[in-house]
Amino acid sequence: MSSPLPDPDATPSLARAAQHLAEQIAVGATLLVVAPGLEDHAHHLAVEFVHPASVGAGSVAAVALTGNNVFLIEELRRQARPGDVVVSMGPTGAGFIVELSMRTQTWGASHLHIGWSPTTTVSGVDPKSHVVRLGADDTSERLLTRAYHLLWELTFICMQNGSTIHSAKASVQGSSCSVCSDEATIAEVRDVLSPATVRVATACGPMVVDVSLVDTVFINDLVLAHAGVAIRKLPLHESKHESKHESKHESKP
Amino acid sequence: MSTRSFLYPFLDEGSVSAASAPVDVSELIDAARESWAVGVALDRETLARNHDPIRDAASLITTASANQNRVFVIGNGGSASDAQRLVRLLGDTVPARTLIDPVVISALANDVGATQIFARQIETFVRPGDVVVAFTTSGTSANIVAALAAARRQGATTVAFAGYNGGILREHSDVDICLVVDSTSVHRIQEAQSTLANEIVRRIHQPEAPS
Repeated sequence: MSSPLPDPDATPSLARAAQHLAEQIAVGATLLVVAPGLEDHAHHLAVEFVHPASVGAGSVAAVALTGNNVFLIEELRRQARPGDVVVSMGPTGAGFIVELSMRTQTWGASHLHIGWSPTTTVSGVDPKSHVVRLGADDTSERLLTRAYHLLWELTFICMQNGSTIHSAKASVQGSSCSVCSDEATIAEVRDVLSPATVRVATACGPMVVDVSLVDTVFINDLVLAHAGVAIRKLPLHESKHESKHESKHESKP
Repeated sequence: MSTRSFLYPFLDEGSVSAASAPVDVSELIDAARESWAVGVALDRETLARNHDPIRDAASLITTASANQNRVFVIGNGGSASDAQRLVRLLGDTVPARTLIDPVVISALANDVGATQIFARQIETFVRPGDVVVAFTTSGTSANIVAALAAARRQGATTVAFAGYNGGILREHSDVDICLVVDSTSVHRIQEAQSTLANEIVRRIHQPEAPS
């Protein structure tokens, strides 16, 4: 017999995720939706926002992206704009999701994940991500449709009731950044400037960091940067290096 | 406050209004819990009500597959993604596919009309002995009704997932098996239809499992 409530109770995280979505939609966000292996769910979530089932509800920009994981990362990098929300679905601890949780913030976007994991604390997923945990294993896929239906319903309530207008939480990339004021921040390598310096993308915008303390870095690598210095390379789970990528030692002078 | 009035206040007011007060997260959580419970109850009721159609649909698809016939699945919007999901869940052992290629759909919609986007494809692809499965929340979608009629003309067997207590498809002459959801909420209907589809797939993959 089914429980009347999801187990675990996902409704608090759904509610907070809906508030976040409404805030970002109010400042013009596009929802970029991915669900590797479950592409039908990506299409379904996107159409709920673009063409809501409820008469009179407005259309929200949402698009389902499909393809293999490497393609998805590249496509998201091309499509994402500051303030957008990347929505992912699937097993929460999967390498792709972990990597996505880190990369998304370097693009100035935020990340919402709806999925499942054996434990409540999911190792690897960046704590800045909104995570809705539906259960322990992939049998929870049967709950996905209800979860994103409710996500739309709750987001619509927030939009209807003006919480987005009154909230100061909505974020787009600006001249100042509270995210990485005096703490290490995740950075995505965008260009190799010299053997010791690279240009990176971060939640606070582009910057140049010193990479002399870490192993060879390639374009699209993720590093943890603090005070202009890369202090650690972050493991890549899905995005493999390609031959076209330059290392810092192969850069042009 | 009822879920309907809380989630869809404009349905009672007649128009979308610009409300004023921000929503407290506890109100959102309460609304979500209420809707979730409504959905779970509808799933349970729908499974019980459709015991025979679930069995018959699983048997039909199994037999068609064994006889080298094909399964074609259709739907509009979210129901199109439900069609995709059914094909995915049926897996490699069942020769199933959707008829929702956006290039074909846009060509037919522009040149022939939205009502014919599935019927025209069914006339092209479907052979006697094939199965056509249709998802519709309203139970009245014109292009689904036209598709089922085309399927009948082609000699296919038809399965319809229909909300709104089955709509006009519940006892329609072009529908062989109708899986009925007794709700008027599009979201809750789709969720119950998903539950029905999951159960049919489970029966196909585990025919010896208890029903």
